[in-house]
Amino acid sequence: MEKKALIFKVSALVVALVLALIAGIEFWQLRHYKETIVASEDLTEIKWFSDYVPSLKNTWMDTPVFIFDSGVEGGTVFVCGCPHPYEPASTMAAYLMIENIHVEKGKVIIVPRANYSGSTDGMLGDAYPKFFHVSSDWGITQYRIGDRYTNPLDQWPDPFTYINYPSGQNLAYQDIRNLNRTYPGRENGTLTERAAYAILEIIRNEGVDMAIDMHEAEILYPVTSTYVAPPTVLDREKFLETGEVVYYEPERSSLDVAMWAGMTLSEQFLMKYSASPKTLHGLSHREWADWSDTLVFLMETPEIFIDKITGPRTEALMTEGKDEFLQNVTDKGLTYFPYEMDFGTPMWYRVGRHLSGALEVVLDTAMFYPELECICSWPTYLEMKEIEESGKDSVGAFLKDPNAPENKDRAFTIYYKPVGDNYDKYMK
Amino acid sequence: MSTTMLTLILLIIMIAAFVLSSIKLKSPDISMAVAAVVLAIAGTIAVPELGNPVRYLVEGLFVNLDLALLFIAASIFVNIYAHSGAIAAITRGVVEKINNKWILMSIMGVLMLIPGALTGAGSVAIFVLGGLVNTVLEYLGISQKKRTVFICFFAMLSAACPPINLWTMLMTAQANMPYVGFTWLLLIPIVIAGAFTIVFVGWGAKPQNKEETLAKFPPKDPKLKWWRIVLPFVAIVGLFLLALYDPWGLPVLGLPLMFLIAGLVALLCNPKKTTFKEYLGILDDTMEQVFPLVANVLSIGVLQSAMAATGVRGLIGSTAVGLPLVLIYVLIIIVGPICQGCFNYGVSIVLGGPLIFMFNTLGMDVTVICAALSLIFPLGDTLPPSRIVGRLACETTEYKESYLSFFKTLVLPMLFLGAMGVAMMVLHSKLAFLY
Amino acid sequence: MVFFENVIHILYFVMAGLVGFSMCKSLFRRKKNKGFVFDAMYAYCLIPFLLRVLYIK
Repeated sequence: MEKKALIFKVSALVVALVLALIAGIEFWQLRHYKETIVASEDLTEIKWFSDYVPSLKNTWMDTPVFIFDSGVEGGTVFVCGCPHPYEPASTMAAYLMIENIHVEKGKVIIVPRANYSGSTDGMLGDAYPKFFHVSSDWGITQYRIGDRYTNPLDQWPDPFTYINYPSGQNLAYQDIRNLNRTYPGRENGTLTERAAYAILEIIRNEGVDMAIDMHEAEILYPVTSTYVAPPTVLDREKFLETGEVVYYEPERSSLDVAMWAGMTLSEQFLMKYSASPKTLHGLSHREWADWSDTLVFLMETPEIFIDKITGPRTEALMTEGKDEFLQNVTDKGLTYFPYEMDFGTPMWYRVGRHLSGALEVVLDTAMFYPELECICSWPTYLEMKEIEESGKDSVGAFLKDPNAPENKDRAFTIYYKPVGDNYDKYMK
Repeated sequence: MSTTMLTLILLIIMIAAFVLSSIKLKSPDISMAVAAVVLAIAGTIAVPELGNPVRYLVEGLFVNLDLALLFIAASIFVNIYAHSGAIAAITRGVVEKINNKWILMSIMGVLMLIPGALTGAGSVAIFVLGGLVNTVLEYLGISQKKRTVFICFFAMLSAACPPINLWTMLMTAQANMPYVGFTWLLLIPIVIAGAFTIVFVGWGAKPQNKEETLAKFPPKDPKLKWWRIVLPFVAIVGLFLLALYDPWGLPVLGLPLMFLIAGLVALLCNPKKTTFKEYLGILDDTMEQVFPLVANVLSIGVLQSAMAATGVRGLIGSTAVGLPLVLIYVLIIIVGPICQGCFNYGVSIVLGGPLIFMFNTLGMDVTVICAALSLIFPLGDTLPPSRIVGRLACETTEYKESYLSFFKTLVLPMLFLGAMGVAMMVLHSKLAFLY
Repeated sequence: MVFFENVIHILYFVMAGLVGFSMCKSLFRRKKNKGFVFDAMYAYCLIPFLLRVLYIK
């Protein structure tokens, strides 16, 4: 081989290795960055997905489940944060709930990072920023923006088409790593299916009466700014015995509650409601209701980053949501949200919507079905709006400093396995 | 500066970088990578908040990593299978037994549809059957150019063919629709377009002398029994069927592993005494053979990432969905395939998803629209910058004339399929009975 | 089933490693596409296989 050619080959390899190193460091940071939150004083117990599906132990799909039990008999609420990690307002809302919750009656169970593995990867080909930052009086904290799917490092390969269990419905191949397409899950299935099964087990074993799934959606998507709830549910016994698919109207209707909640919230922000279709399987608003006795509510906030057709994809676009292209498309009447570029879709607004959206269904469920009453509180949209108007970051305003001495006993590192001693105190 | 102006400038810079490097380096793959790097650097200068571009440039290499592995595995299977003499034996059998030109061409067409229909990738159809089909068409007296057209067009059709159409899958995933109801909506236009292409390619061709043609094939290997020929195909088809009909009874194998298992079966069925070293040689040759395609799909991912990060993707997508409906009908046949050339399957996300939402807003039947778009997008596999299928077809038939001369002949069947796609979009409500 | 899923998962990493190794080899010694442009492409395309097999991305 010519010396010149050899030098070029070696140089090319070195350049490639340097590029791999630079990018690799960033990927490593995203994968291994650990967020820390401070749970409210009402925390009574922490469980893990692996308590419900043991094979998840020591996998990147294991994740903590925070339980706040008032000790007073009442309804049980389950809140699922981060089923799609690339919808970060969902995670932030769950974190703010965990940090500020007060429960007077009933029990609240919160999973802040339902797809932990997916939060450790970025959306391929979509150039998502790795992190976004929130400023508080005590400092700036960074949080991950993940993927829609489970990280391929943890679940690989994909099939050529994904067939949802047990409906047998065909979905896109990569949806086998999409937590919100794999419900009700399988105990011995893929990693994502097992996580889905763990969530169903939480709902069934903990006697959950209301289950809330927090998402974000593109404004081109009709179901943005919407509650989705099932008007009918599957006759499980008949299905398991005969395989026949029969839906019936349950005694308690989450769609009724969602309609009421949507109307009530409309004084604060646009919140529509939509009936869960019988023909689309694998989603929480269908399968949680079909495979347990809980009332299900899926919430979508408007997030323009998911719309894909945006300008340069910076962190500011994620946290402020101001985009000229989406304004143009809105002006042509093609979006399902009254988008105004001057206001955008800021993070506080999306988080606030989730917080008030979740609280409203808890309140309204108690109104419709008093036996399910759960009395709890956390920050609301209106409180956050007021703080924003004073010029402060309202998300940061409700976050607690994990390094402050008064918080150290309740600071929890969110990871796929317990980190530090605090977990031991709450794990039975 | 407005975002529109900024991204327009970035788009021009990207195109300039691509054209210049294509002229200078004569490789579409590296030109795509160069265009992506130039775009990323220009984007970072214009919008410093984008941060370190290296991360998303490298991240882009992962977009089509599974597809690259599929290409590699499918090629390994085919080369091991071909080494056993099975492909030559099949070709000989087909030429010996079937005398009617149209029947022979139809069989070749249907065969070509199968690998892409199962994997979603037209290139796999060329890898697996391109050589065989080329030989048979040559025997039928079809010119090299038209042979290339046949292989290329049927590879595109096979990618669109159900059960696995990746464009439809990606669009349904984005629009929260089940991947259900597309079989006839896709299959009927594919059969019509396939029949049209068979007539277009086969018209006027005069088959060569059968004995002379057969004499050109390698001699029959008496040890190559029928089961040795059939078993590798039984393995791959069996695995497909198992995965489709008993998805919860076996673990997820993934297409690459399925092809490698079939490759292993082909190796065990090989009647020749092939040494381990010879197999290593086959693997080495396969890797070299398939590398340009691997480089191509990986580079598209990089370009896709850079275009997304800088907002160029947004400019294209938002402009397209903002057009009046009539203009969309007129332009989709051009814009759709061009975006396919740039984004590969990503076109479903960039253009397909927003268009589905837009048509949904207008109260149109999005299942039919989705199928129609999934027939139009694959046409872009013959367009720059990537032109994956077109290039591969040319390589398979060793077509040495200019790409443009081949493309000119291909345009007619492409327009035929594109027009059917547009007609489906216009007549969406009348076709709802097909699902 | 979980066990088999895990075995297949590992097999894919092995596959990525072998492809990466083969590309590295081809960068220095190959029969066709010998130009410097392909040298650059071989080196560049090596990156995802390397990062995958190192369990980084």
